[in-house]
Amino acid sequence: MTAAETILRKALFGSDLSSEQLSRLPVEFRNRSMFSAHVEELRVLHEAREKIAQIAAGKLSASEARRDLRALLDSLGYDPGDDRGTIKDLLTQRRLDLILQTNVRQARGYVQHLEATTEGALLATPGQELLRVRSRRVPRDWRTRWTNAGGRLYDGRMIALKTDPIWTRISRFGNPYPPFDFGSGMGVEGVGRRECIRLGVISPDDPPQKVPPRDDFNGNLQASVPFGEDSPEYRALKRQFGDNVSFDNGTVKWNA
Amino acid sequence: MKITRIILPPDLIPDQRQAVEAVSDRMSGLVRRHLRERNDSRPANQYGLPKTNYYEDAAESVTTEVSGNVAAVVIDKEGVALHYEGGTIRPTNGKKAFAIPIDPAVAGIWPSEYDPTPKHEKTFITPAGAIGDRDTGNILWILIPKFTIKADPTVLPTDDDLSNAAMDAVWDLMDARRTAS
Repeated sequence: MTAAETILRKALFGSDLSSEQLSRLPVEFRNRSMFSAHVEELRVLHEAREKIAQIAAGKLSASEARRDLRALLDSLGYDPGDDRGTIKDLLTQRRLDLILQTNVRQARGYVQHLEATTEGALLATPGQELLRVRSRRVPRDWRTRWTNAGGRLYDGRMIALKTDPIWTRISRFGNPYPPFDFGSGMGVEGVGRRECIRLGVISPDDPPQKVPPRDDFNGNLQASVPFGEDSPEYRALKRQFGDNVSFDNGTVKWNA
Repeated sequence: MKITRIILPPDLIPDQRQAVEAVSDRMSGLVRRHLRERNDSRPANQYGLPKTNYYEDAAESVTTEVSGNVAAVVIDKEGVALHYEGGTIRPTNGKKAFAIPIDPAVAGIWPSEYDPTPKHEKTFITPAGAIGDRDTGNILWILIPKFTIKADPTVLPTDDDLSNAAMDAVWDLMDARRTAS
């Protein structure tokens, strides 16, 4: 599957939920959905999904995508009101780039993660290193974040097995692949088997890692959630997906 | 852009699928690292514009395609093939020129985004072929009808580097299989 294909398979999820509320939805659900904080209009999400897929396929620039999304928002009479010029204003370059770049990078990260965790890839290149791939004016302290999450350093390098839960623990989005936070400049590089042994990441006799389960974008899913049936989060899901979503004792079930 | 196909001898590894998976993962990792190092080594441009991180974007777009005992690395970033192979490009879709930003304020912004008004009310075009802002008078882009890029094989790792990465992956895989058996 290409990055563009993973994007086009996402269901549109319009809601008035904030970024924080959206983060409480199960990661499995968020990965299957196209959404943005406080964006209810499905036409905007549909257009964003199309543009993001085209960018991921190398067929559209971010500038053209922003231009087209602004044209749509204007045609819909969008008015940011008191949020004008802030990150909540969908017309700003900052907000649009956040939507476009986060989604493109997540789709690419997902596809690369699938390729890096096949049986053969796990045997030959079992390790992965977290490192900076883009400079940032104000970089986050990833080393502290890594060690606080239980990560180890090998010759000062942030390395772990590809299937180690550390990757999910350091991720704001709950995914074991980059980007690990909004606007993050961190990425990953594989570490080969013999180098992993040399560094002490693995021993020669360690059993091989198991291939992680693959997401079934079109299958049913269920996940425990930190919110209740009367919460804004569940009400938003229900408004959008109707009978396809049900709540049962702290678990949300989504029928594809 | 699809680059270099590594075809593994069928008798090298009993499990061809594992071998191709191992090799394609290692090759794509090498291509990403190469593109990132290229991005890091690029200087700021002559107009003082911020780096576009073009080659970092290219690195992020790298994936692989596997079919049977053939692994290919794919780079989904517009223009990489042109930089590698060279050529002359002319605008398409009815446009007559490329707009090259020379003011940091419009880095990464196309004229059509900066001035989406139907009659270009925000900008003007000079006889010498530049686009400026009507309010400030500042020149923001220069217009170029075509440009020629020389072929640059250093855009990608060499075939030797890719082959060495592939063999390195095979050695790692054989070591893992030997230990497991």
